[in-house]
Amino acid sequence: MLNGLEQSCSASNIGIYSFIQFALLGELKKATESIKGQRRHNAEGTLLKYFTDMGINGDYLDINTSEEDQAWRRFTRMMIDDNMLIYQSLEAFRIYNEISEIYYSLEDDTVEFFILIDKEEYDFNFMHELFSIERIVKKMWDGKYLDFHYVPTNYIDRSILYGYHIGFKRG
Amino acid sequence: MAAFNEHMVQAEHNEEIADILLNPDCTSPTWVTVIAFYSAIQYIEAAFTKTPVGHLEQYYADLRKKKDLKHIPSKHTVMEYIIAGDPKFTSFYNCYRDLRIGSEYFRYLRPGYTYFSNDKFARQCFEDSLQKIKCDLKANNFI
Repeated sequence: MLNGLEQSCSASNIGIYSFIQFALLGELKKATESIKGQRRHNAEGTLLKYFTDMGINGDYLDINTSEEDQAWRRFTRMMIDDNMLIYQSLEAFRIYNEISEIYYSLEDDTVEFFILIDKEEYDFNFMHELFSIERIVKKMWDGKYLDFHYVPTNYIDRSILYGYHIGFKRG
Repeated sequence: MAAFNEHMVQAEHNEEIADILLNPDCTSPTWVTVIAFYSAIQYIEAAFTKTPVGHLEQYYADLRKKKDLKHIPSKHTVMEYIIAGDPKFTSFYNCYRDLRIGSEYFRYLRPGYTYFSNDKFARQCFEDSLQKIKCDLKANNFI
């Protein structure tokens, strides 16, 4: 199944952003409808397979992928290169108005994100929403370790961002 | 390498110290948060001894040898990945993240650490995050 998809899928024919958002909301039908392109049927089949292993657990979304079943990671990897994965990772976070800027670095084995938040104090509920996305983004990457740092916009010492790429800036 | 009982003794000791600093009035939000995180780590490491992970120390050493990574992730990051990936642990992923973030801000006085530096944050870390981790580990008979 994956071989066929490898030839047919590209980053442009799947709305990962919409997919994640609808999936987080539990809108499984809308999530599958977010898949675009001529080969939608094949892609949809693969993703539907994962919907059966997917569940809303408390505040976050679980996509169960065992060590033996790496198809989800392979699926995201084969259609998306590192730059596109960065783009998709940023997309998942930028919908939050409280997020003002995102910086990242991409090394051989690790990816780091600095996410700047417009809040004056730590908001547990809000952070838990971000952690839900963080877990999904981690699963989209294959073989790399991701580190997420959250910093309040008003307090950041911008010198720590030296060497990082800007991924998103609001306004 | 520490055995299950040693991890548990240290976890409970850390928790007691954090409790003393927190109750009845919070005398140090910084230390309550840091010690609560280290208590959580010990509980989780105790739990790992009952899973294929075994001793985190050894697991980490093996990972470094096996993967030939150019940039070695920290042990806390590796623990985070194990928690995120194992259905028996994922229920407290958010709590682990709360504690880790708070602890790192205070230990390294990262810009914005004052953002967390209040009694409310420390109390929630201790009373909610650490207790949920313990509760979930107990529910699965790990501790």
